[in-house]
Amino acid sequence: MRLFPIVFLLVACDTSVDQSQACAEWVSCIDARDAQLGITTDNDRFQLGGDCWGNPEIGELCDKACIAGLDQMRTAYDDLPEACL
Amino acid sequence: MTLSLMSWIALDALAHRPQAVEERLVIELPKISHVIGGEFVTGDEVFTVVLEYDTPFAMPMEMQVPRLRALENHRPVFAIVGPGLPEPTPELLDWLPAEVPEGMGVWVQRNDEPEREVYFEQVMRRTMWTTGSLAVHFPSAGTYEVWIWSPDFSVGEFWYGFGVEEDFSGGAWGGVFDDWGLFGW
Repeated sequence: MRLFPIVFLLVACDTSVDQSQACAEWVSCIDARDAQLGITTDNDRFQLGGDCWGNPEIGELCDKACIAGLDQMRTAYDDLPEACL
Repeated sequence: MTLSLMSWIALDALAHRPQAVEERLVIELPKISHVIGGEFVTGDEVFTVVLEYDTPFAMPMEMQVPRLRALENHRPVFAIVGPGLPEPTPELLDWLPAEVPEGMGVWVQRNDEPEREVYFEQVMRRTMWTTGSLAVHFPSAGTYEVWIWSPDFSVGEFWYGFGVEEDFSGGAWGGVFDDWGLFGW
């Protein structure tokens, strides 16, 4: 019972949001691109639980970034793996 | 009072590390989010922001301009020049403000959408026009240069923002007060 206010506050302060569909696609694309190029990209912020999903404002920024980033990748490269298409 | 208010707001808003642009600005912590503020005075300036990565990296970035009538035709752009990026076309090479070094590729944000997105920046409480955020993949460890220029030679302020991870250690908020004219209102 005494814990209730603390738990309530923690829940009330949780502003995190879900990873967007566009950024899930971005992560899959970069993972596939990494495998193609033999590299490992630090892409943590876009991944599930990454810094992009700490609050709605950042989440929206990242979502738009992933949509635009995927578009630009598709325009710029003609050898992208299937996960990027 | 202002600082404590901004610290409180920053808990629930994206707060970039503020820094004033220089002709060539090397970013010490390129994986941390920054906002680089500057002003085109003559319109023919080219500013270079240097990002050096020890591993392939990906993050969002965007270009913003204060939403003021005087700046409605001010559309600064940026190009990222570095290893592993797409090979520039001849048309792009003509448009860029400097020569691309041999073997380097280019990403470009042309800031040419007819309708610009309006963004209310919650920390400094300013309304901005933005290119919209763009996720960029830096596919190689190494040095990348971000060239910022004004293709139409328009003058006025800009904010170039990148990253999402926040770190205000070492008095990083000081940039706001050192360059209040760029970041304040």
